[in-house]
Amino acid sequence: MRVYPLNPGGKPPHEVDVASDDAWALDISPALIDNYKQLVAEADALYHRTTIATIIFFSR
Amino acid sequence: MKARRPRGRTHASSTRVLACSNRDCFLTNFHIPGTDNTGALAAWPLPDFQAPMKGELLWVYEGLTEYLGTVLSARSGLTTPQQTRDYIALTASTMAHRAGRRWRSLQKNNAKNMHAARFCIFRRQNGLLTGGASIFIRRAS
Repeated sequence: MRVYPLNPGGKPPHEVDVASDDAWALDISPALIDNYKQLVAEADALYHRTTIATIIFFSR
Repeated sequence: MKARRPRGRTHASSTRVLACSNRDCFLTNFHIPGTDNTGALAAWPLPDFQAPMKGELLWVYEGLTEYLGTVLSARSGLTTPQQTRDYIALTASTMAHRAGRRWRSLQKNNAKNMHAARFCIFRRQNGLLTGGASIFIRRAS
């Protein structure tokens, strides 16, 4: 399992958790991580809420 | 793997927990906590699993969820603008040729779907999801 923080040290925390039987599948490209960071920002802007933590869990 | 859709009081959680290996599924679930702010789902959370579902506005909730999931995917760069436009066009075109909605409203469809939802939510809701989404697509276009 590997955790990719989307806002290191920030509150509330946002992160991507990846779980897999194979080590190679734990890798996520930096570009995709950037997309997820933007996704959290867009969702907070859409709902006018910045107090919701986010855990994105991938099973690959 | 299909993500299990959180239901009932889970929606009031202050943490978005998303589990899936499918992008569409992920984006659909991402919208869920914000929906509570609209009050549209005020009647949906249940005190326990013995209480009957009240799903009168579920088509609104599911449709808005589906539509905003598409919007968020485009705004975050997970899909390109062209992919997003193609998806919306496909959904609208599909619903334009789905005859079932001419004799059965989304609201009537909800009641049976909600009873079935506890046991096979994704299987039975598929038409409901796209039906609700198509309405928001039309309103936004």
